[in-house]
Amino acid sequence: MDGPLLAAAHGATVDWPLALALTLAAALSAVLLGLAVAAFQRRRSTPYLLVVAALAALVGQPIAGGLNAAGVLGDESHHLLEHGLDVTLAALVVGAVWHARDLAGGERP
Amino acid sequence: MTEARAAIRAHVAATPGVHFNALVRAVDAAPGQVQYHVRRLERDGDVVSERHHGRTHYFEPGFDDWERTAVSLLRRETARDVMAHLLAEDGAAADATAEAVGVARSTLSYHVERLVDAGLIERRRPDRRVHLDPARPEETATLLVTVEPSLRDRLVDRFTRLIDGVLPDARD
Repeated sequence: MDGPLLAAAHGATVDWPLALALTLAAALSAVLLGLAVAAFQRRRSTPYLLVVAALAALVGQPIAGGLNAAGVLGDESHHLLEHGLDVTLAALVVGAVWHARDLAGGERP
Repeated sequence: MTEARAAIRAHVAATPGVHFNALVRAVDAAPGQVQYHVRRLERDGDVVSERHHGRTHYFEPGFDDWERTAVSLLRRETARDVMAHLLAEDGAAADATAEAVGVARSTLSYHVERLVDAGLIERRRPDRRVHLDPARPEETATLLVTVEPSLRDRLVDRFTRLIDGVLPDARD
């Protein structure tokens, strides 16, 4: 079974809106992940590390979408992976929020 | 001196405290080439380097230790805002500063920690509240004008402001 992009290589039409959405999602989420990594390098705290991991899961979504569109990843496993990444992302953000609360009450300037 | 080396030297002179990656982008040469020229410039005493929080910053000779540290901190937008507020008010309470600059206490705390260590801010507790004073107001004001944060530094700074605002104690 071919995904839309590979099907296009075989003569069918390219799904341009999908290709554009995937490219934009990949570029923007990569920028966010870069910022998160730079911020973590400054702060070196667990909540910042969890934010990095959450944004890495966000970057994983357009990658999974791209693999599906290229026909590498089947529709069913793509669907499962996509929603698995949703769960991971939400869990990591909840973890970051939870961890931030644990540290409340430190010395302030 | 080769053209590339002259360009590197001119860029360091124009942007004191520029870090390696920004230098590579600015002179549009291969990192290996920039590294080679920077080493030669350092050996000849035309450029001085200093490592700060994992990044190497470059300066013309003539900046003293205090200035070099101050320049690398004043490339951060929030640190600049904090210093500008303290200079304008001739010192202020920490909580009032966080409010005036519009950052979470954890964000202010992170930057004040570094500014105190670098000798730009003096911290005292006249009563229960913490008070912050510029340690060397005139020199700091001059450096604030000389130094401009890069786009990357601005974005990372705003990202940490956002996260600190959502996760108020994400600092440690």
